[in-house]
Amino acid sequence: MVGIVELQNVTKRYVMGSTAVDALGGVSLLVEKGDFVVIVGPSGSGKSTLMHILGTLDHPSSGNVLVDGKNIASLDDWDLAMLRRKKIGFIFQSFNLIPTLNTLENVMIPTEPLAFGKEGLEERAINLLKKVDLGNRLLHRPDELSGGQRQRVSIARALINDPEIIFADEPTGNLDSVTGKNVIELMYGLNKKEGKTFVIVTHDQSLLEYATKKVFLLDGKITKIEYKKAAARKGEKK
Amino acid sequence: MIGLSISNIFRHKLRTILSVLGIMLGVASLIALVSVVDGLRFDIEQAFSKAQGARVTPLESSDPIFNFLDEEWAKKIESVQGVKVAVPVIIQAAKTVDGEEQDFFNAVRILGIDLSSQARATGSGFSGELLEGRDFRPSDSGVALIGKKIKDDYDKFLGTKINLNGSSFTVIGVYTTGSDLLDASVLLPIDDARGITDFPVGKISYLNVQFTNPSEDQRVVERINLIYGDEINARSLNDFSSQFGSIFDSVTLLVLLIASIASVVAAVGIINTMLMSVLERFKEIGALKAVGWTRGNIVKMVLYESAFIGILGGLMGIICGYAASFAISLFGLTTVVSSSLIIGSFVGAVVIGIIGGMYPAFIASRMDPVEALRTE
Repeated sequence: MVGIVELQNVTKRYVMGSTAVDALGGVSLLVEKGDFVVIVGPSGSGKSTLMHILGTLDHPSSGNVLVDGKNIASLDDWDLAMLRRKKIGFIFQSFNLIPTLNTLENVMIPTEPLAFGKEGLEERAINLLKKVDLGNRLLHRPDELSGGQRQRVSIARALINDPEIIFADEPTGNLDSVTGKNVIELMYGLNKKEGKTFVIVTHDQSLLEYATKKVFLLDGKITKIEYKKAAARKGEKK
Repeated sequence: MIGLSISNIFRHKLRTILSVLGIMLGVASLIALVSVVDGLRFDIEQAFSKAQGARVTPLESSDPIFNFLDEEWAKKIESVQGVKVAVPVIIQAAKTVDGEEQDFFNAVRILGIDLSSQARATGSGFSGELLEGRDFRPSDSGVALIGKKIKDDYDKFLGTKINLNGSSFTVIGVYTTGSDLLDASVLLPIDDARGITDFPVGKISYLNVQFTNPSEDQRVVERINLIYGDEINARSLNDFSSQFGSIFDSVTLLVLLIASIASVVAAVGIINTMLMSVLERFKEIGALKAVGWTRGNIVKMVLYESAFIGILGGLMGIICGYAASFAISLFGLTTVVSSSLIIGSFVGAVVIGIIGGMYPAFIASRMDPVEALRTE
């Protein structure tokens, strides 16, 4: 298996006045193609910080972050933006859709700055929205959608660039349990059928049953990583 | 991205409208003010383009009312080759007109013209045209030629009397230059004018000079200045810029100064609007950066937004400014809205929009994508 993102002994220290807080204290983790990584931990365990660093949004205080074998410490802001544009998708807890744009436009927003190569994008966005069961909501604004629908829009948005890896930060955090389950099943289906790599950060232990890699985080350290063969996952037991 | 930016600025309609209004008012008042100044300039240019000959004044003369030139200059100038005639003129502000006290700065002007010299000149002692009545004759005395504005303001017609500084004169003609400013004058024979003003004896205000060959005026003007240039100053009459140019340049400068203050105010309004707008969108902007927007992309989005406010304010300002200028013209003032004024103020509005968006765009581009992922 090829490592898409690898953390090598990563630490993150926040200094506030005279006190220093170690949000991450020496974390090593390998995310491979086709993984469905679920990182769980109580609040304050450093899981959000971990995801920001995995997603190249934040730099570690020490240690290395490798994306496709390349150390991102050598990349500047522009390179990182390009890296995220081409290889990474994000799903946020609070969706972060643009309220003035309709569903279709929101899905296409990551491609908006492209000067060329936009041919077929709209068709692709429509297909993605059909895939997340929003084919009949293309022209709706976010405020005309339910929470679950909005999160499915943001899943489609995360997929528009055909990224190698998708990060989701508490994707079910703002949703009721039934809707949350639908959303997670959708991501799971994308992983199983299309081999999309997911890294999900959550405090919701119930998501662990979908994981190929269960990562337990406490006080900025990984306490345990459990690997599960794909065949042993939910729905594949039989 | 332009579509996105346009939709963004309409999120808070009232706030956007207020900053658009700021620009609109600036542009509209600039257009209205400049159109009045340009209208005045146009009127006077028109009047001067018909004028022929030259004017001889003392060195460093400002307003001819304050000029005093020795009477002997008339003979000296007439002896210059190419000069046909030099007509002595005195000019003073009237103290009373029909018993009405005159405010010095808006006073009716009394021009005294040496009729015997004028008789040797072609044309009249005024620039413009005679509307009714007749021109002076060399033997005239106790009569007046009045400008159209005087006729309108004081209800005069041919044969009526006009009382200047306590003495009465019979109106024998009405002329117009096309400009209200220049039409607010009364022409008298020079001795009559001396009689009712305390103009120093042996002095005149200036000389109206005519040339044997009108097409040679510039050369003769140069000749006069070459010979007597260190004592007097000769200027060609149709050379508008040497007469009024500098006054209008100062007025235009003043208007531009007012406009630039308005621009700064409008720009501050845009900075405020855009800053509020990007600060409350920090999560969204962070999310855009997370999904692969570069800093440059964010800057572009914000600048499109503020430029659009400028475009909107500029267009509305042009419409309102044009309307205001038209309304002013209904009161009888000439207004000229030039295409360069419209293009210039539109470009200015867009530039103010962009400048106003720069700082907010910079702030937005520095926003941390991590903020977008932070849970409330």
